[in-house]
Amino acid sequence: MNPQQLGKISSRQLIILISGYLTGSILVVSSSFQAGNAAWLAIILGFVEGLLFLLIYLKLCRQYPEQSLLEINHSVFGPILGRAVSLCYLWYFFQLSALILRNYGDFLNIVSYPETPLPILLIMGCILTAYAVKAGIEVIARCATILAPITFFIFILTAFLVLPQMDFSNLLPIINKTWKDVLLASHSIAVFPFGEIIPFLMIIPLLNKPAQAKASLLKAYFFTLPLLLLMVLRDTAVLGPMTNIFLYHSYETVRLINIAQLITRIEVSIAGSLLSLGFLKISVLYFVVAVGLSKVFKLRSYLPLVFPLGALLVGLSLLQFENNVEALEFYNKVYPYYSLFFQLFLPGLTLLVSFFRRKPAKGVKE
Amino acid sequence: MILLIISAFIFIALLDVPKLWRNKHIKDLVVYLSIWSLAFLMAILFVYDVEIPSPAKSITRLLNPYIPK
Repeated sequence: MNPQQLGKISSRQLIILISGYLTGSILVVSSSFQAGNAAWLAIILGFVEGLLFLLIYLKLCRQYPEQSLLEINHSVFGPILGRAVSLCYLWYFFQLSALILRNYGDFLNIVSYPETPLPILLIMGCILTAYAVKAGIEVIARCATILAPITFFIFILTAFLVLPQMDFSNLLPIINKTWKDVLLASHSIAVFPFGEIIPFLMIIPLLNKPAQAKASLLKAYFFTLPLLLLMVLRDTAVLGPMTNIFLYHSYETVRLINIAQLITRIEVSIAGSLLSLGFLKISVLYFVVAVGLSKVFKLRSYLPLVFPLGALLVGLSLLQFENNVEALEFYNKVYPYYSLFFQLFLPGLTLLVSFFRRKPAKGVKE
Repeated sequence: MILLIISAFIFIALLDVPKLWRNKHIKDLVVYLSIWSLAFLMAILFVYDVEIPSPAKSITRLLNPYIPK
């Protein structure tokens, strides 16, 4: 399959797509509040830890320019082992998209459609993303240039609208839990959302100017930090000690907006904008899985795989967890350590092996 | 319910399979059908309330001793 078939995106589109992708589901479920008042500190520490992961990915990109993650695996580990490693990554991306689909399904089910059965919501979401994936990465990126800025604007606007409800003394004492809690929360922030940038190693070869890949990854990464900081500071200042009680902090915060009894109950429109970012996130992962699978099996096109993968996606997101609490528990407690294998161990191993493999070749040259 | 699921899966198959079959893309068809039948099996088992082992739960069980509390 030639890359021409997959379409090309510009680096600006990539920046917006990544920042929309990274802020996507963290606006709905945030694990940073395990740190109590120090959620903002957890975000900064997690950002620094995630930066280390990103440096590994960038180093891989520089060693194998214009190659996707699967091609890097192929040239580092050889055809058979490389394929196995690639399948590991694809499983992780697929499971992650099922997790996110489930989170959004539960979110919708709890906040706005309590009577609708969960499978219906999941199938609707999946049909929408399957349609986007069929249309290709160009369409997803163009969607991102519309959806993500609108969401960011609404998000910053709500921070101003909720100003009357804010009480900045809620931020004190700075650390009301133990340092251990802060570090654990910062680790969950490092893997979700910052470490989840790894599927973009598959999308980087589709850039029209591959030289800008590194700059756009870093720009998007740094762009996400102020948004997340704004989110946690807003939510901590508004909700205060109640952050431990609520599941969906951003949503609960926006609920409280009340400007002169006139602008109230705007949370449903906010939920809509949050969902648009979820759509972006799921469609990026879904696209990467479909393309990756077609590359691993050397198929002619990824298009026929989209619909059966969608059916499997709905099935997996349904059967993985019995209820919302179980899903969130997995996301907050187990996922930070499980995903380390794919976000740190496998890329690190790839880098290490490529380092040893390159050395003899260099010696021969000299 | 079961009829609904069967018809939905046949509909999904009708979207892509005839084209693949006509063009003799046999490898594509094999990968397609294996994913399709896995999803189909999952849906049928889900309708009949059969306990399917959840990957998330096995991961949790595997990692639980190493997770800091």
